[in-house]
Amino acid sequence: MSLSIQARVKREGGFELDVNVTFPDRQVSALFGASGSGKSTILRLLAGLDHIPGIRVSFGDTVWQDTKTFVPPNQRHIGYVFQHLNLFPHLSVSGNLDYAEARRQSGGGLSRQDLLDILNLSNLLEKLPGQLSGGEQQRVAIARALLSNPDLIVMDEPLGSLDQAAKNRILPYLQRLHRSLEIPIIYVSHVVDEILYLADTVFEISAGRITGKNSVIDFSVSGTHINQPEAAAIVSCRVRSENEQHSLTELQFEDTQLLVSAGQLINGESVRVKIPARDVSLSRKRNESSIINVIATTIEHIHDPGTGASAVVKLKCGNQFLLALITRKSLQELHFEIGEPIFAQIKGVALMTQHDS
Amino acid sequence: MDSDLVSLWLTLKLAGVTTLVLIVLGTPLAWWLSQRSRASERSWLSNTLKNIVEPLVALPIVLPPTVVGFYLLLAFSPDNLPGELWQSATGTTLAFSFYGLVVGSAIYSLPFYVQPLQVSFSALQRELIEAAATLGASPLDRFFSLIVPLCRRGFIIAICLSFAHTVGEFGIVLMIGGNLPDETRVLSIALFDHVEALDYGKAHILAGGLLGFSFVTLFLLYAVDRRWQNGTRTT
Repeated sequence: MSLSIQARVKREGGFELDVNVTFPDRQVSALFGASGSGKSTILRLLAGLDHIPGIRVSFGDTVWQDTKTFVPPNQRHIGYVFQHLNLFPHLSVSGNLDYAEARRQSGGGLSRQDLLDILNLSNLLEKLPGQLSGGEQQRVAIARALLSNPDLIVMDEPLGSLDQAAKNRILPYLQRLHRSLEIPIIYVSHVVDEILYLADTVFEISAGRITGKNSVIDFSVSGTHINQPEAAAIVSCRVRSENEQHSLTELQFEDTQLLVSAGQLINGESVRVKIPARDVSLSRKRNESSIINVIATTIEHIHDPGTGASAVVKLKCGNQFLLALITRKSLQELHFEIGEPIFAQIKGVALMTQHDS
Repeated sequence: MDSDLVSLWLTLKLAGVTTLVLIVLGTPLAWWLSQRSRASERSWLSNTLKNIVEPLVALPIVLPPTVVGFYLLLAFSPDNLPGELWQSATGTTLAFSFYGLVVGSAIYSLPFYVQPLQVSFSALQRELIEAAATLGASPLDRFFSLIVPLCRRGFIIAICLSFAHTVGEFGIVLMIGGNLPDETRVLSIALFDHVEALDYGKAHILAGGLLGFSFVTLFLLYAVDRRWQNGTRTT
């Protein structure tokens, strides 16, 4: 079932929210934007945590809010994961999970044992929230939200209060969850990396308005974030595991190949691969080099910010795109031109375990 | 039975009933006062009302008990509406009755119940309540399953303070209760009687007993406070 919100509201301090969005079913939809752009406001309105008159929220055929109706948050069956750690401090991990399980209103969904396994919580059950690290607390909070068997999950910067190491540990759990669930997930973040890792569809939001809606593949190579150091292209490939040698698996990428070190891929399956812009360098000739992935591309676009040390070059290969982060010095010395054929030397290829649907 | 024992029983009964009344009426009042909405046009009226009610609740702390007693005495008179209503409903007068004392004590001890609880409610992390809501807990469910245990320290302090404060009440009882054995002669009044009659032996027993009770109550209260504060500091 798809979730829709139509809101046109002015809040104090001049902030205006003007959105009309329908989030796709069974997908991770990311809301991407800077702090204060209205992401959290949208989530709170979706969940009914804030009640601002004059908006309309519906989920499938059910109207959650319009001029006549307001369904309170406890009747919306939303699994909400908050930015700030908010386990019930007087209850153990087990008690926190019981709290959700005792109030679930329908059967089905992931079982308690499934969640303990996926989020790796079995040995934390007796502890109090105060005895857990931030990452552990947030994993429990995610399990708690899912144990209520929600029809929809919203996550408001769930990794926002964690350090980088904890983030890196928790992201794979989120991805495993996504594959085990068949309900829509709305994921709010201002971190490009998380979006590229988890999202299927990306809604960009700025100053209270939706400014773009793209698949994560298109999002990864367009938009304003591609000048940031963590920019990376997401591309779709097909596994050809019959050609496995030197512990490398061959992926069909458009009409060429990429070699990745990854085991246990099913032949013929479609996978997403992340290629960080800083791991791609450009060369006019196919050099003898230790880099195994070298692909013939053409230059699609050059993003020269005009200041700073680096620029981003967008490369076209078949119907897909790559990004290369190069110094502005090389850009000037090598006189790259749009449409020019060029070899992309790819040092890092990361397989996103997420399956392409 | 010894008249002092009757007074003791009466005192405990008055403090107990008063505390129960405060739990039932003071808890929602403390909750309402603690919920200040962010400034917006819709909440202006409610905030203004709170600005007026808050000092009203605190008035008994600064007013001489005789002032409160005087106005209550007037209100309890069958010539005035509250007293008239009570009389038509029960056939008795509120003044110089046990239930009159309960009304007076509840008003007089109100700040000692409401204020610690209000502080406790205001310190609640709003996101905890919101999380419970999204997990399917109704407002009443949230109150009993989450807010009461999280604010147990506030509840204990509020209950002990209002109980102890009612035990120690004198002026208001004298104004609206008089000195009727078995009905309104509580310990503090009995003590006053003994002193007037120069019976210092009995006065010592009562005064010492009240002193000991008050000290032990406060001692335990501070102990509980220290312990639970440590227990919840991890949050």
